[in-house]
Amino acid sequence: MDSSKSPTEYRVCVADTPEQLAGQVTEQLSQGWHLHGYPFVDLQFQSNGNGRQLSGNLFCQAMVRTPIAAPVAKATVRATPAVRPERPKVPATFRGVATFLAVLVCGYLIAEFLFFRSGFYTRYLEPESSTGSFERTFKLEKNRAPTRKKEVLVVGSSRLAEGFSAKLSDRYKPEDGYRFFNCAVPSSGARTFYYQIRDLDPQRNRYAAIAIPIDDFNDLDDIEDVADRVSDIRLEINRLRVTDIVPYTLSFTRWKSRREILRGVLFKGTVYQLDLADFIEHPTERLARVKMFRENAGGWGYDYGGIERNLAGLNVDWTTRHATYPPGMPEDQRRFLENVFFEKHLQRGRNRDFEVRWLGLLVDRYRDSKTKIIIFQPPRGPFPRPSPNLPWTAVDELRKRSWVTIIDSHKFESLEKPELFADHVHLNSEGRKIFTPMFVDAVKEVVH
Amino acid sequence: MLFNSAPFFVFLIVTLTLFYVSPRNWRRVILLVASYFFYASWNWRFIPLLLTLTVIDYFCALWIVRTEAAKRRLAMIISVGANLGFLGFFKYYNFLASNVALFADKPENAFFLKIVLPLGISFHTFQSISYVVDVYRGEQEPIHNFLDYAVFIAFFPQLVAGPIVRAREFFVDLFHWQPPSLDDIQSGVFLVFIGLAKKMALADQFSLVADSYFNNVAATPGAVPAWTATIAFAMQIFFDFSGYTDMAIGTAKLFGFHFPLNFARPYLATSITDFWHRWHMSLSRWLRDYLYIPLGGNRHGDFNTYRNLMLTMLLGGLWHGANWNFMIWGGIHGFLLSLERMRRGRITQVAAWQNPLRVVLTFALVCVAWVFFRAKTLSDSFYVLHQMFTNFHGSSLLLHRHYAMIAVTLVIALLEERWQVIEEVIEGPRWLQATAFAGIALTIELFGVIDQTIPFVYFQF
Repeated sequence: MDSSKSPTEYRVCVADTPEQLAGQVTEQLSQGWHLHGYPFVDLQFQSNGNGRQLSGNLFCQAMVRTPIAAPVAKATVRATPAVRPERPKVPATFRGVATFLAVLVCGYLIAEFLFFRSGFYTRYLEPESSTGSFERTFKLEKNRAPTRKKEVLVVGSSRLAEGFSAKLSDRYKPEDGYRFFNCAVPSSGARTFYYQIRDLDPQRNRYAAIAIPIDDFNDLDDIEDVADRVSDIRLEINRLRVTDIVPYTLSFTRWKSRREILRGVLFKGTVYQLDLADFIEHPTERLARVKMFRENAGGWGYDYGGIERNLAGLNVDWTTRHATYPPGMPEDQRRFLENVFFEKHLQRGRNRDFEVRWLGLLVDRYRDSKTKIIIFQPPRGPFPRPSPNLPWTAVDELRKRSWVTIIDSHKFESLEKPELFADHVHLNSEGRKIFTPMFVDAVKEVVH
Repeated sequence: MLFNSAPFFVFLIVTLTLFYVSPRNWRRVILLVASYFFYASWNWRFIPLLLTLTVIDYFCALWIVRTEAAKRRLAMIISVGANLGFLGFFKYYNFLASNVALFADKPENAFFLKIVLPLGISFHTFQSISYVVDVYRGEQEPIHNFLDYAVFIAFFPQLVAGPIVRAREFFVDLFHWQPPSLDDIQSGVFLVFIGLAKKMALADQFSLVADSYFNNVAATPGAVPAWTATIAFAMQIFFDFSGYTDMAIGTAKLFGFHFPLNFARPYLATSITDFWHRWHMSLSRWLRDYLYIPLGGNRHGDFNTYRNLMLTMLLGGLWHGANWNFMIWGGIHGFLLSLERMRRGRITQVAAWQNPLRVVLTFALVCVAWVFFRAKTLSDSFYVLHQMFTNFHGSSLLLHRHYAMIAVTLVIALLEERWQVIEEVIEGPRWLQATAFAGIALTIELFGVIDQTIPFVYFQF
C-alpha cells in the first residue's frame, strides 16, 4: 500500500463473528493499513414495529485507515539526512573482489590513456614551456611533408637552437639538393635526442643524415650530473612508452630521482600539474596562445635571426686565472662568468658515461641504415676552458662504429671568440650566420 | 607513516594479506602487531606509554565489575585519572607552566620542559575513558581478553586521529567478526581513495594558501586576503580531517570493521547546532555523553544548560591544544550554541528559501571561529579579525583552481545531501564505478601536492 496517500483513507470491516472480524482486520493490517479506534462487538438489535427487540445476532465492526501523514516539523534546525537503507550484503569472493579491482584499474588506465597518452592534452600545452616547446618542435618535424632533397636532421640543445639556422642553410648553395631541419630544443641532451629521433624516424630511413652535437669532445664534467637531471622528463614525457619505464627510470643515478621519475612515467599527469594549473588560471589566453603558435610557430622558428648582443671586450687569461669583462657588464653577470670560467669541477667521467650510453643507443639504431650519423662539436664558447687530455672519451667510443662520422673537433674552433657569442655558450646572430654555412659544408662533405 | 605515503600502502597491503591468509585465531594478533608497528613507525619511544595506559584501563575495568560498590568508583577514578594525567602532562604542562611563569613575573619558558606530544594521545585516551566509564555505568561488559582490549585501543586505522570509536561498536565487530561483504570492500577501497583525493588534491592545495597567509599575517593586509585565507583554511581542515577519516573508515572496512560516520557535509549546516551534528561527530558524541550530560546537560534550567554548553565547548577547544586560541575557538562555539538554544522555540518555521542564507551565515561564523583555531598567536587572531571587518582592500589569495575545487565539491556535497550519490556510485554498475574511480585517481594525479609532505592537521592533537 502506498503510505504517502493523502488525505487519510478509512475502510470499515464488518463481520458476523469476532473471529471473522479478526481475520479481516489482520488481512488489512498485513496490507499496510492501520487500526483506527477499537473494534466494536455487540448484540444486534432489530425493530419489529413495537420497539427494539434483541435479534440474538452479533454485530462486529472495525475501522482501518491509511497512515496519517506526520505533521510538518517546526524545528528550527534542519536534521541531518537519514542514513540510506542498507542493501542486502553480497558475500565477497576472490573473483568478485578481483573483478572490482580490475574494473577500477581499467577505468583509470582508459582515462589516463585518453587524457595523456592519446595526444589530447599535449595539444593544449603551454607552447613556451619545456614540454610545450619540445612537442611543438617535434610535431612540426614529424608532420612535415617529405621534400625531394637530401634531408638532414639537426638535433641539439639551445646551443644549436641559437647557433644554427635552417633558413640560412636552405639559402646556402640550394643547388646542392640538401634540406636541413633544426630540431634543437633548449635543455635537451643525449637522452632526449634518443627518444626524439626514435619517434621522428621510426623506420630509420627518413633522413640522409642526422647531425648530433657533443658540447665538448673532452666530456668535461660540470657541477650538474646530466644523467640525473630530473627536469629531462618534462621534455621526454610524451615520447616514453610502457617498455621504457624501467630503462628510463634506471638511467637516472640517484634513488630519489628514480622514484620521482618512476612516478612521472607511471602517472603522467603529475608531470603536467604545473601546466594544468596555469591552464586553469588563464584558459582563454592559453587557448589563444596555442592557436597562435599552431599557426605561426613554424615560421617564427624558421625566420628567427638569433641574439644581437655580443661579448666583445671579454678576455680570459687562463694562466693567471683572470678575466676582463666588457665595459658596462653588470656585476652579477661578471660573477656568473667568473664561476663558469674558473670554478673547478671534479672530473669523474659522468658526462662521458652518459653520452656513451645514450648516443651509443642512438647510433646503434642506424647500424644497418643508409642514414649517416654525424657527431660534431659546436663552437663551445668565447673562451673554452683548457681541457685535460682524457685517456678515453665518448667520441673515442663512438668512433669505433664504422657508420658514424666524427667531424674534427677543431673544425669550428675559429668561431670561439667573444664577438660571435651572446653569452658564455650561445652564438649570437653574427656567429649563427658564420657557423651555419660552415656546418652545412662539413655535413655535405660527409653525405656527398 | 602518513596515510598518504607509499610506505603506508605497502604496510596496508602486507597487513591485509597476512590478515586474510592466516587462521582466524591469529588475526587479532596480526592486527595488534601491525598496529604497534604502525605506531612505532612514528616514534617507538611512546609504545610503553600506550601499553601502560592499555594495561591500567584493562585492569581497572575488570576491577570495577569484580569489586564491591564502594571501590568501583575508585577504580574508575584511577583509570580516568591515569588517562587524563598522561594527557595533561604531555599536552598541557607547558601551557600551564607558561601561565604560571606569567603570573610569577618570570620568562614564559622559565618552567618549560622539552616535551614531545605522543601521537594520537588525545584520541586513544578518550577512547579508553569512554570504555572504562561505560563499564562503570554498567553499559559495557568488561573485556576479559587483554589482546582484544589492546586491539581496540591500538587498532591502527583510528589510532592517531580517530574517529573515536565506542567499545561496544568495536567489539560487536571483533567478537562477531564476519568477512567483509563485497559492498564493504568496494566501499572501503573507494573511501580510501576518496580520502586520499581529499587530502592530497584538496586539503594540501588549500593548505599552501592558508599557510602562506597565516605564517605571516601582517605581510598581506586587507579583508579580501584575510577572508580568502580563512576560507582556504576552512577547506583545508575539512578536507584534511574528513579525508583522514574516510581513509580510516575505508581501511577498517577492508578488515571487516565498521566505524561511525565522523563528518556529514558540515559546511551545509544551517546553524551552529547543526554544524556540530555534522562536524567531528565522534568527538561531539563523546563530549555530549561524557561531559555535557554528566555536567547536567539541559536538565537543570536555562542558565545551567548554557553554562554546560560553554564548559563543554571550552574543554572541547582545550582538547585540541594547549593555548588560549583553542579556548577562544571553543568559547565562540559554546556562545553561539547557547545563543541558538536561547532562540529555540521563538523561531517557529523556516522557509525553504532561507536555508541557503542560513548555510552561508553559519559558514561565515564558523570561519570567524577558525581564525582562532589557525592563527599562530592570539594577537595574530585579532589582527586577522580586524582585517576581516575593517580593512576592505586587497586581492583574493585563492586562485581559479581553488574556486573550481570549491564549486565542484559543493555540487557533490549537495547531491550527496539530497540523493547520497556517493553510495549510489559505489554500489552502482561497473562502468559507473570505473568512471568515478578514474575521476578520483586523475584528481589525485593532477592536483595532488606531491613535492611536499604536509602532515594531517589533526595529527598534532
